[in-house]
Amino acid sequence: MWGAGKGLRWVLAAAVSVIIASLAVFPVRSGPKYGGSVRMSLADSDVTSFDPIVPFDNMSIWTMLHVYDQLVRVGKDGATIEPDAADSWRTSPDGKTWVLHIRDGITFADGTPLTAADVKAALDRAGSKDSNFEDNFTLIGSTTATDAHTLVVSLKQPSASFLAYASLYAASIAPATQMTAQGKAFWEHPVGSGPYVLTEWVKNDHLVLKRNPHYWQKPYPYLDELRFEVLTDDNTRMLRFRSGELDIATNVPPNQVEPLKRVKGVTVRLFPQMRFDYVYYNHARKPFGDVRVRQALNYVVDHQAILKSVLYGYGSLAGSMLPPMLYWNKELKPYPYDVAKAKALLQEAGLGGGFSTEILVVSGDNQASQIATILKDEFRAIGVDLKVTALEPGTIRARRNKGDFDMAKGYYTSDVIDPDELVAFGIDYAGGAVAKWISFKNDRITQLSAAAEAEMNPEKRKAMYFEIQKIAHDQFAVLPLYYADNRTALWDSVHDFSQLPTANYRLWETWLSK
Amino acid sequence: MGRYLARRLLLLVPVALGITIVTFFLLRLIPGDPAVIMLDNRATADNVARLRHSLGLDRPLLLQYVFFLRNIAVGRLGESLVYRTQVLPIILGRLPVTLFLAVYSTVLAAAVAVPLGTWAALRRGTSPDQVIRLGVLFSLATPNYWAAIVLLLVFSIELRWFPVGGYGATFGDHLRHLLLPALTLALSLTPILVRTLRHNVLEVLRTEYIRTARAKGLRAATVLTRHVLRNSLISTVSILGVNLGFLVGGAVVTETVYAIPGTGFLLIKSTFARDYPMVQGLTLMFAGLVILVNLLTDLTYAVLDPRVTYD
Repeated sequence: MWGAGKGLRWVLAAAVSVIIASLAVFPVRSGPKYGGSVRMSLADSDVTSFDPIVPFDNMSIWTMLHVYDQLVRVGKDGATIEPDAADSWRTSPDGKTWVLHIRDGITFADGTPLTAADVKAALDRAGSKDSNFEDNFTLIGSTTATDAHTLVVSLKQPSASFLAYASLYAASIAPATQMTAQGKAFWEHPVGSGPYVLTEWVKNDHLVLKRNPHYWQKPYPYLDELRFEVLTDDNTRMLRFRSGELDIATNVPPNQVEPLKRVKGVTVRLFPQMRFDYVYYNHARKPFGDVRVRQALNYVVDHQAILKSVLYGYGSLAGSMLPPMLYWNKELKPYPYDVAKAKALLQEAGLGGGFSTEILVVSGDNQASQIATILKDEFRAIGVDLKVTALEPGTIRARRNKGDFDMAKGYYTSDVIDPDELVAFGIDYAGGAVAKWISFKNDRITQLSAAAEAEMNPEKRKAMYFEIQKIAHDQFAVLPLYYADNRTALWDSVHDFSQLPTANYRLWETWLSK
Repeated sequence: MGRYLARRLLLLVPVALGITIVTFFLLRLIPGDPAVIMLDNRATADNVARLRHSLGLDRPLLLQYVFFLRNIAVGRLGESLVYRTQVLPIILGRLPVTLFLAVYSTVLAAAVAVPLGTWAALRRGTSPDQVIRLGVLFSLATPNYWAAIVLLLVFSIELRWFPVGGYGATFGDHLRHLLLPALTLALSLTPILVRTLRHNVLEVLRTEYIRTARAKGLRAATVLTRHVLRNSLISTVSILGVNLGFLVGGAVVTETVYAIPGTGFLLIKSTFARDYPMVQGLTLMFAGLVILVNLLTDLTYAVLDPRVTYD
């Protein structure tokens, strides 16, 4: 017994030293802290509006998502929908009626309760004639608030993407009575039920959001204040960050990632996002109508080299015209680099002697002009003379919409997890956007896109979206480049910051340890 | 003097009207539709038509111009197409920043240029003169954006003496926040001032009245301040005047690099967005300021040179 006692002492001593040693090796991370103000850049532009049915720019959208709730929201994985103002829902067997339960105890920042009537007003407004997002809500036939916590939505046809669209910022919820009483003035001092409240907005300079004490989701938000600084110039933004005047710097230029990583106390994070960068050509103009020419232009480009030199490898090569997301066809591989084949294809198309063409790039867009310069160089191998024209963005958009261009650089991102939005925007001529501007018309795609929207069976939908992507790929509809990662720099005092695949962030989950 | 002032101020009206015509129609000649720009990736034909209608861009151009004039008559500059709120408060919020920066840089430039220019002229051909002239050449050849970034790297990132950007809240803050930007602007203004001043001082030194003043036995310092400088400053003041007008709308690069919420930056952003009312409002405001500064410059002549009278 005594012997055992002595042995026990040894064991105890050993255990204690192991614990102490492990504490030293793995310091206990203190939990989230409340309070403080985080300063973050808005890299693209200023916020333009807090009226959910107005803006198209990401800065407005991502800021707005801190002020308002929607019925549901995109999950952090970017592939699921999670509860927001609605905490549960069910759908009728025919998929046309949705019954949503509005969370108990949810209030707006001014303390008034959020009811099903407010949600109804939000959905109705998003689908109204005044809304810039009317198209996304045309599937809704009617909305009824049967009581304070129940909303019934009747769809015109079954739709698999209803919840995805209900998560759209355009359907952000505001107090219906105040909204109608104040009219446009309401959006200057908006009230929502989100984690933060807008308190100051100096146009084209900065915005300040303060915590909403009534926010429903505990334990959020941690930070007392969010300060967004409009810093569109890359150098300025990075200098501001380096000097410690910013806690979070977005859109770190690829060439500054490595140098920044070497700065003590700085982390540069890469977040995959649903973004597709590409070069498009005008199928309505000769010789781009010929698939062999489009093929040749793709084969003559060393896509890997572009990814490396332009993005410094912070992304992945693009095969499909959809970025990695729900129903993304990963079987589609990037077009290979094969100059001999490109030459042969051009010969076959009767253009063995090459041709001259022009690419439009936005002046000041460094990445686009780098890409254009590489293309110019590589196209020369098959006798194609590419003229690079830098123009101010407004002029390029005007020419793009009129079809007055040969080639240009573009990109798109998704606001919702469902591919329906991007297919309509990028691939389907009937969507009236990219495919229309470049005159890429394919009846099978249009037919599949309409069918997929109404199809409720996930496996069948997947097959349809796979086919849509495959047709576009086989037709060389555009010259795919890459799926770029979001590059964000943080000081070590910033914790739990992440960007979703939809590229927005949830600053209510972020906290500061300084 | 009073009658002169009244006449000059009255002249403002036709000039301003001319400016409204030029900016209004010239702006609309630039390719690019505000609706298409705003909608960007969502610029389908339907969306463009809807937005154009809600912004009132589908009305006849002349009617839009009349509305614009009518707005001005009641003291409104119209509603920003981007922000959908009145333009005037936004502009007025930024004007003080830009004016502060313009005056600050002008004062800095003058404080450096007047002694240097005079010294170089008085010591013509000697080594101080050579050094100053070389410095002028360097400063003139330095691009603004480069100087701005170097100043930031040295004084804000390495030494941490000054903040990288912004404007601050108090007068003291403004002085500290805007020192580097003002210095950047002064860097391009100083050499011009030094050169003209040196040239003018040299010319005045050769005049008969200076010889007379010296012959009368006046002290060298008196000759310099009362006769040489006073007569040399007239053209310097005109340069300063023109420059102040330019700084209000033209300090874009500096405002961008230092992220200062000024009017130049706003003008560029609004032009890119084809925010017609904002650009019109800003142009009108700039025009008014330039006219005002020119008037002040003209009045300064009378102070500097008693021979100049306005009647």
